[in-house]
Amino acid sequence: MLEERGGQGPANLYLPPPVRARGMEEVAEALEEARKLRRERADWEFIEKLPPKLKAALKYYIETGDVYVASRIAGMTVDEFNELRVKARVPSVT
Amino acid sequence: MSQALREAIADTSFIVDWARYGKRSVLTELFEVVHVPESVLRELKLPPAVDWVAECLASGAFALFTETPEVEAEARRLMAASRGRPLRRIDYPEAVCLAAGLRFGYVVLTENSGAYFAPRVLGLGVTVWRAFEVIVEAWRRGLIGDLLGELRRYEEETLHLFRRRDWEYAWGLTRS
Repeated sequence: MLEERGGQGPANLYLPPPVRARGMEEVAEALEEARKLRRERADWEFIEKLPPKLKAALKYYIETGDVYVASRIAGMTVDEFNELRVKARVPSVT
Repeated sequence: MSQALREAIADTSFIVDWARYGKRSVLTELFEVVHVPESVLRELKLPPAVDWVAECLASGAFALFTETPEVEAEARRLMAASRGRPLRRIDYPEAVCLAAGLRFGYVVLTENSGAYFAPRVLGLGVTVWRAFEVIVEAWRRGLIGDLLGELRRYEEETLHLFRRRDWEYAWGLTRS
């Protein structure tokens, strides 16, 4: 059953849910669901008290889920930004 | 218990979350070796990620991946291709992982949506896994016992949430 879900890679590997049969609309839905979860779970009180650069970076992350660019906005490495994300209670969702 | 899978390559978004997980050693049981690009290593400064990666590099479970001009060129081509799409674009570190996955057949480990959906959006012949797929595969191979419990634990320990569709898929697996 697992192999039937995909179509790429060696036959003995489990292949993940986003497979050929699912359309681009479902990808867009997945991204929107992730964005909604980040917005809803974030500690906005904490975020609003941060310096402008960090606040902007977290808001960018909440909207896009892009940790690399968000870390560049914050002027941090990715793992430093990830610590900030956890403090701000913003879930990572893929 | 089955044999370890072949090789994987991990980007920063995967490593920074996975390093917080109590059962993170499952990853090195699942794969013979996990490659870590230099561009990814540059993004790691803090524990637990930097300590874990250093330990794994020392033990040989991880290997440093130095980008070649060919991989860099392919990564930049993928970045450019993703910019023309309506969905998430791909940044350099995950583009390097995708390019290496394409070139060497590595499983790409990422939590970046652009990279995760790249096989379909860009039509790439590469296998891309998130923590979800890693945990499911570990369960399938008997490396963990309670799939749903382990997914919940991952969510709690890493502040990483799985989507509804993933949960439905996991529930289906445990019922079948």
